[in-house]
Amino acid sequence: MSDDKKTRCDIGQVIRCVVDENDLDGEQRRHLDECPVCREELRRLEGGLRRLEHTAAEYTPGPVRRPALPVEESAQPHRPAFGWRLAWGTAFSLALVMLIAVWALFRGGLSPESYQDVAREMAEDEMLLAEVIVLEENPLPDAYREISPEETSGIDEEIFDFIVPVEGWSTDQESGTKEV
Amino acid sequence: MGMAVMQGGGADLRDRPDQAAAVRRAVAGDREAFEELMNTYHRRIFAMVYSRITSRMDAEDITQEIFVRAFQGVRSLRDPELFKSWLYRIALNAVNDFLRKKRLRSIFTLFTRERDEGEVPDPIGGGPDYLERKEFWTRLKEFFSRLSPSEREVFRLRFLDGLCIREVAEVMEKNESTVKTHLYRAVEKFRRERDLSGLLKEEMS
Ligand SMILES: [Zn+2]
Repeated sequence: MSDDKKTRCDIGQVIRCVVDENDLDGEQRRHLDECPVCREELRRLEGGLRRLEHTAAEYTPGPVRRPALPVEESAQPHRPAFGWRLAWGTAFSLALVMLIAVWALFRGGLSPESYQDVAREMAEDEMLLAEVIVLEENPLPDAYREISPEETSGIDEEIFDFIVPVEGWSTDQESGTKEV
Repeated sequence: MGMAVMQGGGADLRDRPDQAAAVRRAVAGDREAFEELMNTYHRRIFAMVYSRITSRMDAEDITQEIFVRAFQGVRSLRDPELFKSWLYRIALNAVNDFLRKKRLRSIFTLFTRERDEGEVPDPIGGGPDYLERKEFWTRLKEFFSRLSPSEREVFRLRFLDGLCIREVAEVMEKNESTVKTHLYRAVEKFRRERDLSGLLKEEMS
């Protein structure tokens, strides 16, 4: 063991070596290589960490289920919510309503009340169809939609963090799917 | 000298061209490529989740969520080299979402006194080494309770999940020197830890 102040036994150097040995300078490395006390300390500490990793792995069961991916392809970055399906749906419902109107006319004309009924039904049909399309666009159950990146960010999440902070993680983390 | 052990828990995309290619294909929308990556990381992500919640069933569910979330977001991954860190960050967020909701539920049941009357299955499960396992996870939790949240997370990612410093920094979105500072303090506390060290198993060579 050297008497040089810079290379005296220092547990801080041993820990720094465990964290990242590249952070030690040449003198410190040499000391750790040559000093039996520090080498023993290093051996003990590294061994403990290795055994910790090993024990945790031993006491962790293997997964039973293989994750099931959604049937559709992986989502496009931002697929428009109302795309061509809505256009087709609207066209179809309009055609249907016109067909009914023509049929009613051929059967002897429509009273003003009937025209109103047709118009109301037409509006209802469109609303229903729009709902169906929205459901089609978001086929995941609520539980999954809750964890989607768009749903987990925003003010609600911040309030939630404030009320029920998570122990193991600083609350300043952003959404997991943040682009990197 | 130094931690030649535990270098990054295996595949680092920067050192694994085959995996990097799979990531690029997955980013381009190739489902098979994503499944390949899922096969590579499934067990590790499950273990990562399990070590934080020690409930097998919940870990299965959360792992499922993580891969669905990753599958749905992979196309927006701009730098394929960061796939692993990105996946671990999704995993960490999913675990924390789960823990937060669990805590909220427990607060709610405390107020409403609507505690489940039925039997609650032990999340750690049975088996011949049940007591040792239970003791280990309990002591580990106690040790972690003596660390700050950042020290705890950095220590877990580095020494339980086997990520390298750079990956830990990427997952936590902190710079490497901050990660090392937290890690230094956590290792210092680990060194003084006595309750846990007696429970650690020797590695078979
Ligand atoms: Zn020394």
